[in-house]
Amino acid sequence: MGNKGVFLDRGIITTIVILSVIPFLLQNSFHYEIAIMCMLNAVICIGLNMLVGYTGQISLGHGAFAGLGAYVAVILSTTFEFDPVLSIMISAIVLAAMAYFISKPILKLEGHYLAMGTLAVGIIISIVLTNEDQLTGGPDGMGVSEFSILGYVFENDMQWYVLSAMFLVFSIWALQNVVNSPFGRILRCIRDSETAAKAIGADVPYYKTYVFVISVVIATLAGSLYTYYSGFISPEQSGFMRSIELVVMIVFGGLGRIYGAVFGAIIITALPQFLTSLHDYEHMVYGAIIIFVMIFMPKGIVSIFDTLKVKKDEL
Amino acid sequence: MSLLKIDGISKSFGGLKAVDNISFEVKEGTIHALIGPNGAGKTTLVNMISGIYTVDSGEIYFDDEKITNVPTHKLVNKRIMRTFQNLEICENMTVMENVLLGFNINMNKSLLKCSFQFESIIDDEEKFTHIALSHLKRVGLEEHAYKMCSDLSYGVLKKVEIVRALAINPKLLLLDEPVAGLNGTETAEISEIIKEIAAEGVTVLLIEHDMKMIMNISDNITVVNFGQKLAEGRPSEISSNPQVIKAYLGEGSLHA
Repeated sequence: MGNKGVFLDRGIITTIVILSVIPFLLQNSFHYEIAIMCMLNAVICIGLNMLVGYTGQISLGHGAFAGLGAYVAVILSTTFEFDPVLSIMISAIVLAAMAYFISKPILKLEGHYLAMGTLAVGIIISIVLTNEDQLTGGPDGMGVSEFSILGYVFENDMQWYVLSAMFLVFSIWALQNVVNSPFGRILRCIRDSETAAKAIGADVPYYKTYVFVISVVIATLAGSLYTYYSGFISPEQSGFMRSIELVVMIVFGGLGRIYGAVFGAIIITALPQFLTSLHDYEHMVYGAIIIFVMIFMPKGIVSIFDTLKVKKDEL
Repeated sequence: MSLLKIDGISKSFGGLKAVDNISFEVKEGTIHALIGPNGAGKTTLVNMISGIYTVDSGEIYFDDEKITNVPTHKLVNKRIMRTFQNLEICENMTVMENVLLGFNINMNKSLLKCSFQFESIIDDEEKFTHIALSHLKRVGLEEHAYKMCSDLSYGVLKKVEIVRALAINPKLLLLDEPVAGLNGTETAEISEIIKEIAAEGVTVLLIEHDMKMIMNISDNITVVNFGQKLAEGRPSEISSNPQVIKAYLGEGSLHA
């Protein structure tokens, strides 16, 4: 693969440096759990941001897709004793096929109606997972087999940390390449004006479906990995609140911004953990922080960097 | 020889006949104007030609090939491009990115190659950026090339839209009110651009309300009113046609 473009830019290098330093600050298993959760949520958000932020198509069902993907992988590897990597691959293909068939009717909807359509699909998935208890263990959830890649077993936190970090860096790098490529340009064109996209010869439904499927597959992969890491899965992970939480992450971080999804996911995932010391006031402070950020930074938390850059240029 | 042939097309919205059995031909290499009072059905006609609306009845031929109800994005492959009355520009992108969109059908868009930044993608980008820049230079927009469209004036964006439509060297260019809302200087500039395009062999179908511009640059004019064809001919014939004057100025004006 020849490469004349910028292979690693400042953002990616900074990310790699930060991700390599963080393990030195993590003191126990609980810290690792939060870090890994942050990174895998960030990966899901990067995929979702491609759909919502760059293509302008809302989805309130991605939590359910991630959860369903995780269930498919876990059931294959735990109940039917498939190889975990093979299970994840099969689950990605199954979810991709499902997303493809759902997207045909659902992506004809726009705006609020699309939000409601995806919301409905998400809730149906969640109900099925809760009620099909002979397969899914019902509301109590189920235990998960150990994870290994070609016989290499993942058993300590550091291994999981490295795997998640690599997945995150790769996702950031790939999305960055995509959004600045001809493909990404068409996505942004669809967001700004579907009519313009048609007029320059882009098959709009094709691109919408494509991005929807890709974002569901990314959610499936990250969702499955997290489940193998935590060793337990329950329908709560595919619930309505989970889907909303993912959208909150990308809006909070900054829609249509690569690092927006990353910052949003990290802050929204980690914040409640830092606030637990406030006990009864935890939810109030959490809500207040989100409200204040959205009032003063409507373009998301990454808009801080734009402001800093303008200030620096003025000096 | 006619490049575009409209054969008795009609379109109704509910009970309203927006376009009623209109036929005309656009000769290759000419500037053909479509005029008529507001609500006459001009934009509906162009929307049918460009596949945005479906045609109720009648046929459209391009280069002797039937293109009735071919979806918009497929017409681009036949090199039919258009601009819009109400600016369809991507506001959150730079001028350059908007023009590069115009090269869409010539670019490699494989998601795999794009995400791994294959050399072919980067080479394409370089090549088309270069061509885009020369197009922008031609209409005097090179200084705005890397500005965000949301920061630019309406007049500049009108030109950007034309440049985007010209990117792939179209055979037929449909311009829907390219100078609406522009001042005299801008109008003159765009008239000049349209004349140049036509001189290079691009056939132009132009909708416009600016009569001075129409009379100046068009080779043929088709007049529509209430969804029907009223008159057709050279600018001098149209400007003296009593029916046209009546449609534009009202019944009494003939006797005034």
